Amino acid sequence: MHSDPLETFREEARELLGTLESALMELEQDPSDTNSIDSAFRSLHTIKGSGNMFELDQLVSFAHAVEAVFADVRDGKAPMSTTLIELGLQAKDHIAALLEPGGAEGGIDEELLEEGRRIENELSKLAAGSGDGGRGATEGAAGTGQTEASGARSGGGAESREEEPSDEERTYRITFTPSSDIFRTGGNPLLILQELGELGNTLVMGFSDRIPPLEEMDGEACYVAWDIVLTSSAGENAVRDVFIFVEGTSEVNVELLDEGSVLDTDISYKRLGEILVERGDIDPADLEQAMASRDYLGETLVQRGYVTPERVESALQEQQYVRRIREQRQVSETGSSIKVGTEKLDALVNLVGEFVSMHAHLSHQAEAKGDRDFVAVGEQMEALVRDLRDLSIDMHMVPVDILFSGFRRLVRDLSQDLDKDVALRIEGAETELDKNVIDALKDPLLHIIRNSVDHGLESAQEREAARKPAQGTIELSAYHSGANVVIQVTDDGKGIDAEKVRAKAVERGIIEADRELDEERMLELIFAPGFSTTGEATNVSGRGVGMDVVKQNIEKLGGTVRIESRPGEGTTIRLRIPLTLAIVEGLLAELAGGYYLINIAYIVECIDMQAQERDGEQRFINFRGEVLPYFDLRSFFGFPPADVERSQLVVVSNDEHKIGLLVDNIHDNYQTVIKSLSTVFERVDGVSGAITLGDGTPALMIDVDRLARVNAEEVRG
Amino acid sequence: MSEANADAQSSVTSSSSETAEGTKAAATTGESASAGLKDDAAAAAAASGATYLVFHMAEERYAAAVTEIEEVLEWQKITVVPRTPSYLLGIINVRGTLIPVMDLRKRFGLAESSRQEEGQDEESRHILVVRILHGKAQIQLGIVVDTVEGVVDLDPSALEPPPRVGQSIDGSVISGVARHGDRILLVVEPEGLLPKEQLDADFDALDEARRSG
Repeated sequence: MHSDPLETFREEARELLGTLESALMELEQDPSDTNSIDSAFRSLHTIKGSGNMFELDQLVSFAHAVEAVFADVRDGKAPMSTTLIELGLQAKDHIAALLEPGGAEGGIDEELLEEGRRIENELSKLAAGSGDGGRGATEGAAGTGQTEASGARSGGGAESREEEPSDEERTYRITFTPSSDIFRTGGNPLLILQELGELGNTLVMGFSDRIPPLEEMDGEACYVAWDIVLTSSAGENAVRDVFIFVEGTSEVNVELLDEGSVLDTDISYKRLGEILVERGDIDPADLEQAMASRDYLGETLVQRGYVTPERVESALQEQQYVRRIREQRQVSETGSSIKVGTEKLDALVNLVGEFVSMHAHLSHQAEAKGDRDFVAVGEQMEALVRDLRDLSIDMHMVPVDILFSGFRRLVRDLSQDLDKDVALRIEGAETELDKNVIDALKDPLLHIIRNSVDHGLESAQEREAARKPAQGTIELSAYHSGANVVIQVTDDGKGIDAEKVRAKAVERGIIEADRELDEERMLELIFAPGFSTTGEATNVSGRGVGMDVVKQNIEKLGGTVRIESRPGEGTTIRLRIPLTLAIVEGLLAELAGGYYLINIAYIVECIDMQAQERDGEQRFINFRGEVLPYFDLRSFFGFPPADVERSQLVVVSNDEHKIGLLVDNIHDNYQTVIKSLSTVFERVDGVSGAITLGDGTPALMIDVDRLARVNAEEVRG
Repeated sequence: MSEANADAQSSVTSSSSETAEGTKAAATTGESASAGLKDDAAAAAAASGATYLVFHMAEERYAAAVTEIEEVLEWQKITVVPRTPSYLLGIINVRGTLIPVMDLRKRFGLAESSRQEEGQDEESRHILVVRILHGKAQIQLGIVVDTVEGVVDLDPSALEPPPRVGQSIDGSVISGVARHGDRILLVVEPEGLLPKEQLDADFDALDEARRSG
């Protein structure tokens, strides 16, 4: 974690702003989505609260103003509108700007302040009271079919917002005093209690203090009353509905004791005296007198006859109950997850990787020495090491949703800027990927999506002329495919004319004019450095960064980029990314006295190769009846030719090309962490990283995908 | 390249007894070096100039400010990174971090043969770890030198600009000459050892050589 609490706050606030933005995007789709309204409100509220601790006054007062409007919407006092969503997004950007170091503290930019005032001003026009006309609309939208229980409403009328059911558990105090003739009208208080029990956890306390002496008792009358403390996710109306047949005759009070919200983290609850006064069991004046006696309050009250022991007991029970659920909630909130800085996680994964390598070394040593006890310990350790590795990788995985949801805003803004109607469809947002991979994917995807909206999708008129729906669609999807995750951006736009791409590439001097290319290769020219499909770079997808940078970035992750397009129908760009960068399993190959790791995901098989099968010039062998091109890695890496009878040919495939890699010898499988090579070596071809072997010496990782493509290029000429 | 391969070969086949010997040898050189360091440290306390690490290569003495040097490592096996300019030897593992290593003799264009003639044992060489700017990034770089003598304290007045004689040595790397007693020290600027433009040009030359032949 950051040692600087302010930086930690910034980081958290940025996350909260992300949540706010997602909520706003959801609301744009469905303005009645109360969960999103709540979520927007909570994000702002938390930012405000934490900002207070750092005395970020500008930020706090601004967040407060925005929060107030969302509170009004939540409470049904102001309508949800597209204007509010727009302002909310602007407010989010403004808060983000204020968050930047130097933004909220010290020298505040006058322009920034002005922007804040403008937004606040606009927002205030939307606030409650200024737009009464909207109220009905919101209530209509927010209604979820619950019937409003009229009649016996307690003092809790202000909590109208509690009418919505939510995931949060709330605790109510219900005092239920059935009318004495409830049995005569066919009512059964026990059934009501049972029904309450079905809503959630209940604590039921019965009061027998109204039961008259036997001779005065009417056998058919009900003299018992109950206090019920109910914890349930049901809304207040749902609770009242339970009493629907007895309301008006019986006395029913429902009060909210505990909101179950994250904000309400104070464990302590009201004192006994307070509870009793609140319930109307004692007179406040009596309480004050009793308090003066300095004895146990409950006992004093009972002794003086202000209240029955049952009532005191009931209040005490309630006190304990609420305290308990608050405690539990706090435990579950702090216990269910903790925040750990990514640098710590990275360090952990790194250490686990070292540990995995070290264990491999230990096992080899044990086997070499032939010590059975030693080998047994190594085997037992292996299971632990594997669990540890899986766990640490798992900790590093996050759903791609955190990446995808940010693009909603991008597409929305782009469609406004470019005046195109665009819908973004997201699929597979729950697919998990290494956090580091997700971070590294952000810029490439941003660029691809920009391109799709800007160049891929046509204007509404063009679309109508082509008999397509006026609204263009971008589909962003993620799914697993073996040890890879595929991320795909598809648009239903005009597609790419491969011949035009080719012509452009010739014009730019990227290929020779007479070069024969199939359609796929022509499309791939888009990824060539110095290529751009439109004559002038627009300010949307321009910026001097081309698809070549996208491709480079994806390849740095060990991934691949492919493009498919049909003129008139649209374009798909498909990124194939390894699940994790952290740990790979590979085959250790020996070459010129050094060790090289070949990722096992690429390996098809290994075959023995006799010296006479090799022919200096001939770079192909017959592999099960197919012609397999191969690389002599010694010659590729500039080592002298091997002076041995037999070598090993590792047959590898990157899904597109199958090639052989000739090495001196092959050793065991090896599981390890991949480390990147120093930038000094960024121009070295054919290696993609390094590992450390059990004895601590480094070894290089073969860049199979690159070699396969180099080979394919050479073969193509 | 062939020499680096030989290194790799020797360590692959090295048995544990050899390694033990290597450590012992290293320990002795360490002792002598630290003895030298102690004397010089006393001298350093007396004067108020900057402290320099003195090392040898091909009968020349070099000095680098100790503030530029993160640590001095005993010789260790270097993993070859192929397809690089000859002065880039490869990588070493320093407590889990992989650091590129440069051969200073090759960088300075000093003959490799002289070392063998001098009877210099490869394993008596040292690796100085420095942190330099490469392009836009701070990187750690290992520099292989023949022997490390110790530290000396140099008065700023003892430093002179490098002689403008037909030296084969780059001015951005040798920032000056210092007299220390009757000895001449060439002052090395680690920052100038691996300029990105130079490295890119060397990679270009390699690519060109591969294409043509």
